[in-house]
Amino acid sequence: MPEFAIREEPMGNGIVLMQVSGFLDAHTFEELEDAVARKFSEGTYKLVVDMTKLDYISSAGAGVFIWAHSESQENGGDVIVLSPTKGVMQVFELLGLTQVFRVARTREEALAAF
Amino acid sequence: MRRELSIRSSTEFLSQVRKAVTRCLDDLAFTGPEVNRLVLAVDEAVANVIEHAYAHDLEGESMIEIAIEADGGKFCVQVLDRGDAFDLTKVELPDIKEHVKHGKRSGLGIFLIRRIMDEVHYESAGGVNVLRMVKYAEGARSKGAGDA
Repeated sequence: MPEFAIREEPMGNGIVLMQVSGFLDAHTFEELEDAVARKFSEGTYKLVVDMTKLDYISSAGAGVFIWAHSESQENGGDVIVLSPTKGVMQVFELLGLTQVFRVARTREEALAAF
Repeated sequence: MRRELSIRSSTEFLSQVRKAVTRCLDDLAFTGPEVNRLVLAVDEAVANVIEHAYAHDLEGESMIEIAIEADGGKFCVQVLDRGDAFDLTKVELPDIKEHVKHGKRSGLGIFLIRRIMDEVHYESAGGVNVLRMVKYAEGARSKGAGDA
């Protein structure tokens, strides 16, 4: 099983869902960064990141979210966080990111956030 | 319990470090969320060494020595390297709101370490740098001097 994996799914209306799983740390964060950068280069700035299966995130991973949030909002989009695990939420809380990112509990809620 | 491990300065070994820390914290007085935070703090400390102390070592050949001591109510980790000195206790903590506003990501790891641990000490002498971090379980905190 890979340490970190991303699966993409178009959701319609220019929104892409990215399901991340595994461990998002200083070793794997560039995979997410590259994947998000590809979406941005395609003109897709509305992202839902499904974190249901994300076991761990460190500052390297959180940094990707911070960058993606800034970039997407500058281009009329947003990054919605979907169902983060308790451990991941804990890191977001430590960094104060729960006050920045919209967190959705369901896909429907995430899609409606745009 | 005391455990020591040495890893090469490559991020591929961070998962090994996290597992070692988790094993040391089994059956101790720290709660699940506290264990998660401690694993994160050590991960961040080691990642900092890889990124800053051994920035010049692109092959990841340099060694990082990690010593973990854990008893019922106290968790202590020392991270030793022989690279460039980088005293994270002296770094100004980032304003996270400003960071988010401008999409900046630097300094987040240091912020987390200093937020999670009760004591953070750094010493550099004779080409050897040692970061020492201490966390006390809830209700077991020492009244001794510390630097966080």
